[in-house]
Amino acid sequence: MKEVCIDINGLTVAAAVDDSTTLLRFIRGAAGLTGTKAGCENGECGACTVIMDGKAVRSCLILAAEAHGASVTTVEGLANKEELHPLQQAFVDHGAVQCGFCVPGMLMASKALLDANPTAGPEEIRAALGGHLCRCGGYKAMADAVRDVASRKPQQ
Amino acid sequence: MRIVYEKPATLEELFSLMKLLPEGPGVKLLAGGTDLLPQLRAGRSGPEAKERPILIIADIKRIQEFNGIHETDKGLFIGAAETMRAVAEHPLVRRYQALAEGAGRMGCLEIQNRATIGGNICNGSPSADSLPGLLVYDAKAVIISEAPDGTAPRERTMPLERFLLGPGKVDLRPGEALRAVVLPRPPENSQSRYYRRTRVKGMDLSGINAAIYCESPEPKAGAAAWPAACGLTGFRIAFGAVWPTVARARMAEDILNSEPVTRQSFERAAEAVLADMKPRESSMRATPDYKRAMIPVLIEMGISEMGGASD
Ligand SMILES: Cc1cc2nc3c(=O)[nH]c(=O)nc-3n(C[C@H](O)[C@H](O)[C@H](O)COP(=O)(O)OP(=O)(O)OC[C@H]3O[C@@H](n4cnc5c(N)ncnc54)[C@H](O)[C@@H]3O)c2cc1C
Ligand code: FES
Ligand code: FES
Repeated sequence: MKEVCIDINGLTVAAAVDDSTTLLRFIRGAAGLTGTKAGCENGECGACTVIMDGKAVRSCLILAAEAHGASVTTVEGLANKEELHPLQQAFVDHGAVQCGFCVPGMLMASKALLDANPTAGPEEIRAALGGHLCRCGGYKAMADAVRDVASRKPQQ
Repeated sequence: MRIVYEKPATLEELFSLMKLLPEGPGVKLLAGGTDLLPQLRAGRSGPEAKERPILIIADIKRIQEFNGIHETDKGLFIGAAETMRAVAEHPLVRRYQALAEGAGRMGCLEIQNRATIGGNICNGSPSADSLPGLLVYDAKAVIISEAPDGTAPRERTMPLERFLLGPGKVDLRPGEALRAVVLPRPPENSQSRYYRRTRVKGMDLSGINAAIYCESPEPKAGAAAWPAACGLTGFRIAFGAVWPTVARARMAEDILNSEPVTRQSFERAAEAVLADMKPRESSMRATPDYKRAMIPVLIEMGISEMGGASD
């Protein structure tokens, strides 16, 4: 067992977990935040994507103990109380959410992209979302939603 | 088997963990974990873990000696724990184009943010995406272990190509770790390209991959473009998934480098690779026939892109 402390969406979550527990299981279990989805748990689908210390990562491929002391943002950290994050609103406006299972991962990958590059173009958006699987096949609407937010940024 | 995670802060701490071998617990190094975590989950953690009640996972990311990308008098030093993303983006790696491209095209962004170059090498995949680029730049492997008398750590350096022994096998003895790769500085007039072919456009391991390197004399205005004599020399070619490890196609290099490159010498060079190839019949990602068809295509793409062909 390891005593693990991780800052998740600005709150410190501390728990004693088995050494083999993944960050994904820590987020969904110890932290009780089930927005981050467990899909393949093998690094292949992107559903578990969160932002750790500024970078998009697959939480199923990281041990919770490795993330001790790190800062993590999950999909629950996007909205400002009742107000959706611009990316969330754009996903809704573009009809990009079907069953929604892949959406938390897509949103976090998009947020990491726009945090680093607020005016990302179509190629960069494709590269950022390229490793994410959507069983409902909504890829185009999602890329359009991110493009929409990226093209608005400079005027703000 | 119980897993115990350790994050040594120094080489000394790492070596004292590794010394627990061979009786007590097994020890497995952890870098990005993108190969190791799926392997652990599937119960494939290698002989280190077999029949041992405890497996120590030693995280090397925090140890300074495994980090950093900088110039040295022997060439460009890339620490084993540097991520594929860092390799793809670092300004000093840019001149080693086939390596930067290979690192930037593996997996997807989130994988590249964690996966390390040392893990890519040590996992020993016959089509690892960093390896063709590393091999055409004659990269050296820097291997580190504890000194017998417990003073300064010991380092040995060997050509990276010889470090690769077979699928999943590299030349690391008990108590050793890959510290870094060092790439000799290439001549100013050198260039390289990286190619990979996958079954699907999205995320997939390479079915076949290649790096092509060459040097060109000062470009003259109006110089001929491939397939005319384009003046390229000094070819180095590496293929993945063609032999049991990523390897240099020296027989093809010798043909291309012994005379001005023409369509005839290019065809003989491709033939030489085809005659020597040993692809796995059982590969899920590309059949031997597909690889046979791609070998000449990839070599010619390299020559024509670097030789100024317009098509
Ligand atoms: C979804 C997905 C897609 C992928 N796509 C690709 C792809 O397109 N191309 C590709 O090449 N690979 C791909 N991979 C494989 C993997 O991401 C890479 O091989 C990666 O570079 C491994 O690095 P790591 O740091 O994660 O290694 P780890 O998992 O940490 O380690 C891998 C192995 O190397 C050993 N090791 C690590 N560092 C050292 C060291 N310094 N000294 C000695 N031993 C060491 C470990 O003990 C372990 O056995 C993919 C993996 C996933 C999950
Ligand atoms: S659950 Fe992590 S990538 Fe699929
Ligand atoms: S919306 Fe259903 S998986 Fe993407």
